[in-house]
Amino acid sequence: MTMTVERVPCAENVALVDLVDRLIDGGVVVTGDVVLSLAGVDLVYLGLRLVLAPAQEVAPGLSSGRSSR
Amino acid sequence: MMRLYAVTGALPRDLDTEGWSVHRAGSLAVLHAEVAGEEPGEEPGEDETHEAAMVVDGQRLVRLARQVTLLPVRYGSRVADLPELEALVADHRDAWERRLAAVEGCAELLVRVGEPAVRAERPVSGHEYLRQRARALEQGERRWDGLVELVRPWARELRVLSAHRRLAALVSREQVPEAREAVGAWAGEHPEIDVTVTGPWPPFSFCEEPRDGE
Repeated sequence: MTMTVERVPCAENVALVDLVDRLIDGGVVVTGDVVLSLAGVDLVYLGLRLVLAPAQEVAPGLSSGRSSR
Repeated sequence: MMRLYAVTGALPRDLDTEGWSVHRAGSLAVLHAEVAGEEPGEEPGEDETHEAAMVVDGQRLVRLARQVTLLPVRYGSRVADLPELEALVADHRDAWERRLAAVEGCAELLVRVGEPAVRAERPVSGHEYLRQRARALEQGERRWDGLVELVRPWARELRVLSAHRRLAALVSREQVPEAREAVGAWAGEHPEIDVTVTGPWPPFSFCEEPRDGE
């Protein structure tokens, strides 16, 4: 056995999981600004750093018991 | 709204960006696409949360990264319009140029290590269970350290994505097969541990400067 990936029955799925994980948890993080408004009236201005992260990293117990699609 | 996909250096004019638009800004270019249905007050488009669309975009990034050096932008990042994009490029130009130089000619490999088997023997008591678990964890740490050292010679940079579970290595594209083979051989010597290698990926984990100790 030369490549461990061969031991895994769903290697393609593992690769897809890694791709999706890196898409939403890696890459360049851009900063931005947002204005929260209600009924067309600007209420709050926020300078923000938008970060998307896998739910299981933010709250490890969050995804337990949920089916995956 | 403009959805951003990647930052690159100068792009060949004949590069097929597979439908993504190119905003050129001096030595940099940003791959992006206009997205509809994301104006304030409108429902997000169907593809907003659709995993299939995400995978398609990800695979497109993988293909483009084989042809040009690029920094993927975190998926879902958007700017309102062209002036905002231009301001963004101006703010990040120096950092992006540095990282593009750092990842040039390289791809990311992800090494994933499974949970070590910590209950091979049925514990006879709480004390015995804890002793077995401590021993298994210690072995797992030693193996992890060994794996990191194994990968290090091929890696221009390394990132630990989750302690003792996933390692991202920035590897020269020419050396990707060698690095994969080395990890595969190491895994063959440690059949009690599940190790998988995926990639080559665009340098998702290497878009920011390394922190101390990386």
